[in-house]
Amino acid sequence: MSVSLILLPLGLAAAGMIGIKEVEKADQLELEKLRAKKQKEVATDSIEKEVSKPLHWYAMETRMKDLSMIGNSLDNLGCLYQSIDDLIAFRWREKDCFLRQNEAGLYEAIFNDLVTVEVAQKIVAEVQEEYTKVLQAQVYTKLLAKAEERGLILESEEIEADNSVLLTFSVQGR
Amino acid sequence: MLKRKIEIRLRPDGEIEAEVKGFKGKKCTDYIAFLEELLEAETIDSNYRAEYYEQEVLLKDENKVLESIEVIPESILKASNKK
Repeated sequence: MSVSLILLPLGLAAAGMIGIKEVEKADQLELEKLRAKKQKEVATDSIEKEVSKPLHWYAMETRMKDLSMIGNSLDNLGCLYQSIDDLIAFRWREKDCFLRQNEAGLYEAIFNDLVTVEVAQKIVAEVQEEYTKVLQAQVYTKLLAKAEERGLILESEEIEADNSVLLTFSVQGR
Repeated sequence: MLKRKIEIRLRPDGEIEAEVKGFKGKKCTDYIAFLEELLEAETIDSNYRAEYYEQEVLLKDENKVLESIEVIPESILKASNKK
């Protein structure tokens, strides 16, 4: 062994503490309008129907950076979603959730105070877990497509107990 | 000469572990950029093993690897001299 590395795919941010912050006032108003509109259209949640006063909105940073993989993850979870301007709106665990990309390129999950922080964290963890599985599958497919032309010959492939995929390549002509 | 291999572990949490085996000296460092490009990823941690500090000795005429000698980096030598 000469060098061992840990790499982070471009579609994923480094793991860290999930910070919670208040959504800016202008965005709060925008989200309120959206919520009111949605309530009129498809109000299904009896509690949300009853709430007419403006809600408080908060955001939670996620590790997700890629829109198409977020879409695939929500599809895999059997979760309907729609894009509204720069927001992805979806409903999970009977709660309304929104995702929006911040300036750093990370998607933030946005909830109102009808969703407790504990439930919000659970929702983010579940969506993110599916996202990393989608990412793992995508990296695997791309790697196998490119390896041979880069002089790597696949010698073995193994699925480990924790669902890691171990690929061993021999190196040719470098 | 050791067989040159690369082991890549795709973890379900999205992170990737890679191990470059059978190379000596700076050659294995070249593989960091190669793997980053291949995997569309960036390195967040790296560990060098004993073989990194060995150098291949080439015979100019035949361009063949004759033997490996251990080259200890100056920084490590200085640190051990201080002790």
